[in-house]
Amino acid sequence: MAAALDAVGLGKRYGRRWGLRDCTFAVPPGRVVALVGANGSGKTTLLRTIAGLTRPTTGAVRIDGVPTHRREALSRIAYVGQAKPLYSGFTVAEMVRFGAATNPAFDEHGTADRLRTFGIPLDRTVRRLSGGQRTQVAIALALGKRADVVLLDEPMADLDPLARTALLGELMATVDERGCTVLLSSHALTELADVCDALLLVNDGTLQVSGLIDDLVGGHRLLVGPVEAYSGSGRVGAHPVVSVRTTERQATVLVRWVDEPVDPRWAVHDVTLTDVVLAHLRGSVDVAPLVPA
Amino acid sequence: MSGLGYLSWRRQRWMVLAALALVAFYACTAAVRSPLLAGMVMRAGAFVEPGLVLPLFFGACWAAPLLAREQQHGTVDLAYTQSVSRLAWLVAWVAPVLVAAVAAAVAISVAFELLIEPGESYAVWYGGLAEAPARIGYVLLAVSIGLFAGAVIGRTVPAVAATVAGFLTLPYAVRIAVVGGDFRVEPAGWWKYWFDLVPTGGTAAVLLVAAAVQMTRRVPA
Repeated sequence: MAAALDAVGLGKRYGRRWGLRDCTFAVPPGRVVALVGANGSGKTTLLRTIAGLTRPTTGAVRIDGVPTHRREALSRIAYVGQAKPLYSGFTVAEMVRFGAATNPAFDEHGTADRLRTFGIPLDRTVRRLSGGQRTQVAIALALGKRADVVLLDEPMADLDPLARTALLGELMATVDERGCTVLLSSHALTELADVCDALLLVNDGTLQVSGLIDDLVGGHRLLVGPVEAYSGSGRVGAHPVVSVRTTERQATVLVRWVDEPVDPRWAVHDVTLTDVVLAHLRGSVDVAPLVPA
Repeated sequence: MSGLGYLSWRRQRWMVLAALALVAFYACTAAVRSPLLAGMVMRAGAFVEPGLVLPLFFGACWAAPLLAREQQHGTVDLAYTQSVSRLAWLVAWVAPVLVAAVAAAVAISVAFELLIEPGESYAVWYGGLAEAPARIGYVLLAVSIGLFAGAVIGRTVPAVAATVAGFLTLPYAVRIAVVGGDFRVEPAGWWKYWFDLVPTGGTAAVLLVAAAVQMTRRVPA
């Protein structure tokens, strides 16, 4: 059964520094959500908090109303950390057995078959696997758990382009088949745009943007015009500015598009997800965060 | 045996084999009557003394890295995001070292009891079953120091060092706390043999609970 994930006022403090501050979002069931942000922006903290590995300082994250650090939520969430930890002395088959021994709903045969398809020898010890193969094993274990929510921290970092495509295809198939929710952090924006339908953008510990990707891409425009046309007020006509780049003569402004005409000196262009994400990360203009999806 | 229990033994198989080798070594040397061996053992002194070697092997070499490595390599995250409770995983993971430590202490005591005649010349070891409670107590104390250090420190090498230091100092502290520093106190009768087990076993129990609390509530932060 699919589950809805929601967070209210989620915050995590490390000593004096806030790793995550006041995050509020809701993810409906069956979505594939991309979690993006600069290095050190709080993506891993957010994923670890959702996985129940880190207790939030403020607020809560819940799966169908149950806080995720509670025992009842354990079987409903699968998590693959950035370092893809596995027991290096175990063989791949023993790792699969570990998954089966620690999860009642674990799909032992399916997981073993999946690893065989990827050409990973089940009798090889984890120590002798390549980085990419280890990632495949870690992800196969997480999917084998048959959890309602799957959290993947940088899953594609050490995969070759072919394996990335295969992984994303596998994720899509799992979502279609079981209707689970997948939350994955990555820097590979173009690949994310193909498979994800929602986006959470974390910047400096705060959730800056959250929404459906189609709405985000459709809701922004790139305006190119003479530098005099930009007043510097944080708006171009009725359109709130997300980021601006100016040269001596020309201004390139990414705006949140509202259904209003724009000064004819501006040329209006459609944007890609990458443009939107980069503009929000640069964020030269202070803008209020978008409302949660 | 449950799947997790089997995997835990499997993960620690090399340490199980090393423990078997250690017991076999003591049994063999107890069985041999040779002036050469007796001389070598005498010169090796504390380095082969079972009262030190057993606790340091189980505590520093086995128990301390067990929980420290989990944190250092991040595999504790893997365990904590499966469906079993943290405590169930922890019990399965530390059971082999506790069971093996007690079994080795008992096995060595039984071997010495059977193989060594009182007053035999060239016997290199002494103390049979009567010493078993004290051996169990000290080996459990060392294992619990190791598990506690591993849980709190979370890094392998410092945890091993802390365990060695802890085992070399803590028994004296415990003894001073129990008999008020009067080392001439010698309990009599049957109590004599169990005297060491009470404070060492008690301290071990406290440390084991503290290690479990540390692992299940505070790690990972």
